[in-house]
Amino acid sequence: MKENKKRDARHKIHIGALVENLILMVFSVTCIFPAIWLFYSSMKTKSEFNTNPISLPSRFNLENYIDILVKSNIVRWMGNTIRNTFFSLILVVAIGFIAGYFISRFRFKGRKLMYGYFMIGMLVPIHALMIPMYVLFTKTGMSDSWYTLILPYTAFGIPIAVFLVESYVQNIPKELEEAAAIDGSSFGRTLFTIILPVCIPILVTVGIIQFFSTWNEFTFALILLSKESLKTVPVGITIFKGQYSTDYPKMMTAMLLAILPAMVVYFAFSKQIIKGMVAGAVKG
Amino acid sequence: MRKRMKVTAVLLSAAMLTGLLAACGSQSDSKIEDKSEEGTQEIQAAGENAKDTGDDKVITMMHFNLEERRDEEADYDAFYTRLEEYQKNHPDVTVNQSVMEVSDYQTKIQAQAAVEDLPDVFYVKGSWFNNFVSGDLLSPLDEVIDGYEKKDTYREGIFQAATVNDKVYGLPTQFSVTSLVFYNEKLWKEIGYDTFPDNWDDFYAAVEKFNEKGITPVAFGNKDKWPAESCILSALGDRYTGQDWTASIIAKDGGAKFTDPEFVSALQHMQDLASKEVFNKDFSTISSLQGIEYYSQGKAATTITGYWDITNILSNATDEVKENTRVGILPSVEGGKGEAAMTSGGCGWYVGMSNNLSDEKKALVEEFLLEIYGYEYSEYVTENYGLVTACQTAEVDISQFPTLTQEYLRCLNNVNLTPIYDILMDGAVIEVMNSGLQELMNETKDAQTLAEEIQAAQEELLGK
Amino acid sequence: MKSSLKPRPIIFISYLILPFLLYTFVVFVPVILAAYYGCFEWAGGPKMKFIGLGNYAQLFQDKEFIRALKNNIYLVVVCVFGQIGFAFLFAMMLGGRRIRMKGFHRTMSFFPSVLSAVVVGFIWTMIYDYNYGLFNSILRGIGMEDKVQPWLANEKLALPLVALPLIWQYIGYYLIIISSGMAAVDPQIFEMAEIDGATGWKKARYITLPLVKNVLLVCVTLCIAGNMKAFDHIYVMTGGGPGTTTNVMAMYAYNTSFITYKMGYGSALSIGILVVSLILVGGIRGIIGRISKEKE
Repeated sequence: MKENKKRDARHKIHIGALVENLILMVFSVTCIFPAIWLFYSSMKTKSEFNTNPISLPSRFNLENYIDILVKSNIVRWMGNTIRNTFFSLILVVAIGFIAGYFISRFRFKGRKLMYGYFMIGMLVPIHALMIPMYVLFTKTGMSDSWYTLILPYTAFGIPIAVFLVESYVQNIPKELEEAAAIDGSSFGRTLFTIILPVCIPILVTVGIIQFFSTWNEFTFALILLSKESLKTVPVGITIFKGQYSTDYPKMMTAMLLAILPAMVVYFAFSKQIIKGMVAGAVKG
Repeated sequence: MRKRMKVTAVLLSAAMLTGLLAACGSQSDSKIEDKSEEGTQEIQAAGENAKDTGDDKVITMMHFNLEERRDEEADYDAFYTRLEEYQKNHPDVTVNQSVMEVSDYQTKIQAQAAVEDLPDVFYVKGSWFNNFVSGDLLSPLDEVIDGYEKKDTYREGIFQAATVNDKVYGLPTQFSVTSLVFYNEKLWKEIGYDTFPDNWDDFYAAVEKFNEKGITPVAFGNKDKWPAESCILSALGDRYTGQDWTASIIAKDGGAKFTDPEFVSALQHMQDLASKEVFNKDFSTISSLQGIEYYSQGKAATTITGYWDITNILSNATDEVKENTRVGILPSVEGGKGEAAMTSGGCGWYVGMSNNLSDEKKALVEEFLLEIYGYEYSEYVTENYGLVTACQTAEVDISQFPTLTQEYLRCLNNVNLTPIYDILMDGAVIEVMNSGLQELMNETKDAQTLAEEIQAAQEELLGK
Repeated sequence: MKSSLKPRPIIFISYLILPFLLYTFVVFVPVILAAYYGCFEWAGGPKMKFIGLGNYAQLFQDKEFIRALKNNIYLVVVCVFGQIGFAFLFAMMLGGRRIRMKGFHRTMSFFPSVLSAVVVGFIWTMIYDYNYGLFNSILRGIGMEDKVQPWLANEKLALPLVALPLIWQYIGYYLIIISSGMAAVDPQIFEMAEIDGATGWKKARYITLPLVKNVLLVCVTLCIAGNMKAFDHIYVMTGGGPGTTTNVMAMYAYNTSFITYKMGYGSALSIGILVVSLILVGGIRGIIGRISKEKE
């Protein structure tokens, strides 16, 4: 890294630096350990796990995986989850960007009201609102369709997205738009070619938050859908809940399979994601 | 500029309203959707939309008999076997099912019931009938049952929970005994007991011996809060209070009270079980199934649970545990008002028919119900699993079944059944009882206080 | 004048109308419906008895609700400090020059947020487990057998123990939010500050904190919101137990509607949760806003 080269006293060992590195290292390890534990435990047999839940499996064993893949429609559930996640992700990022930018930049009447209005969405306890949600979606004939879940996932994702973008845009100097206006750039053009690139870090953040909350969402998926063909992964894997509640390795396999695609995506793109997230925004 | 913003606001809200109205106006006909929208999805003949489609030859159904678990649950297996038979005989009828895990089912069907959006056929828990019937959601089945040629085979009292104002609203799907003692005869012999004790003094003496030996006397898991009430208190309470008391509570006639000394003693007894170290130390943090697991591994001498765990023990326990497991009931209570040879049982889950159907549709569904849940359903369970069922079936040779099943049947021969609390008492009362029992057994609440709290919940109902 | 940069109202509307409608329809309408149901004595089904504001009046005398509310507030307090406090600290460290493997730490720390509440609940239930759990294994290992216990059954410790996984899971979540918030700040400001000798605490207090104030305010809001409606973790780990020791408002409302079939009261409870949360969030934002204004 560049920073390192700049540093002249590299050999000097700071106790403080050591401690800081150590703290972060310990924290990072506790963060990743559960996943590693889930992973190797999924290859154990039930009795192996019961004797020692921490030890490594005695052999490479994919039986648990095969069992679940054969017994369930997990591939189809995955397709549904991917569709819901994909659409709501795009919508939330787009809406969050536009609405967040507008609320942050323009002092229009009702601005505060709108901000508060969006805040409600963050505070709504969805487990307590299942019945009204169900009423709304059935009475309007919008339950049990391919798009059903995309609506609440988007709507409930909007508040966080708007807030994050709003607070981010406050730190962007107004000169950016002013310069563009002087150059004769239209509003839409300025928005998408000047502001959007600057907002990439926060939009990446909004994106990952939305991605994983949608991926794991359970309540709406249970209440608003009845068709077997529309089931999502979190609802689907509950069929193993009763069955495997004492067979930990198998349950852990089911849990792992449920988040595996999300994990793969995250790690595959983590470099880009992190880069996008902390890219020096106003440099260019 | 200001003015313009105001106009904007008005426009915004107007547009919003129009949108809302439009959305509300698009009626629910759209439920019969063209499924071809989902290009990539494979459409199953059965198993699609489980809502009322209005089609005369389509029966919609919602339940929790997961096909994935067919091999492990006798009732699920019976259901699918009967369904296959039905579809063979009625190829023109389509049965659309929506199937989910049992706890999710309870949430979802409650939401649907709240807005009267129920499938034609659905499972109803015993304790739901009062609510569902008063909400006009269920169709009475008396005529169907009366006209059924094999109606006499139904066991006495099996319709109890499904009966509201002398009308029956559900067919039984199971025969459930909720309080059974499974004990490992070999371990009990090792401490000098030939059988499970029939009085509590002997029982507590045994508990001490087991604890000295480092064996858990009774494996139990009460994280989910219902097992203490359903599997222990339902039977133990009866030993103290007798059946008249329970009947009065269920009828909500105000005669019996939870603060009656007999019931308070029963609660005190529950606390004693915990304080005398009868259970594994972590009993209030593990699930019932995890509790059974201790027993199945031979780490505990006994477990107290319902008939449903017979299949669980048979498929999970070590061979030694399986061979040595005997079945009994809780010890009797000296001076109690109840009889000794009693345990809690009955039907917990019934199947009901929506009240919102045309006469033609009703006829179709009634026929469906009898063909699936009639005598043959029971017969299948008895012949293939040896279990006791809702209908009195022809004798089968029980020696073909595992020892444990035989033990269970032998035990039931000498036992009468008393109501299961959570099937017949009101949900609000049970919620207070279940949570309270956990605190009681954690020794953070005393029996008298809990009794008063449960009574308060009961009185709130009487007031209505 | 800046207004030259303002879009015409028609553009304004066309950009915002669809999101606004969608949000209103999916989020706001159900809330209104719940408020309406809250005015009835209703056990589900067509029979609804109008009782006006009776359910809402009952809220304030409901001991269980008050207890659940206290639990929620406890969670809010420990999580605001635990989650955002650590996240800010780590973000500071990662923004400095002394940390190696920054990418690794950033990637890993967010990882728990990837997991669903069910998985996190399961993992921590295992950690607290009496026989197999990490806590008890350590205690046995260092010879403190007498402290070994079924942790979640301890009514005094249950709530803090339930809060721990919540804190752990979301540190990374706030870390990325704060990190990306810092990204909006011109990095030269930090470099200048360091050259001027502002390090450690001073840098955090006088340079970073004011710059990311907006982001922190959003984080605090998110944190309060998240914990006021906490449900899944607790549902998985204790189900509110022992007894109702770890009961939270959302779970109480859920149980009221679905276990005791008081759908009317359950709806009133959900509105109660919303209102209490709004007051709390509004209050905290007001206080923070005032404090930071005074300082400026």
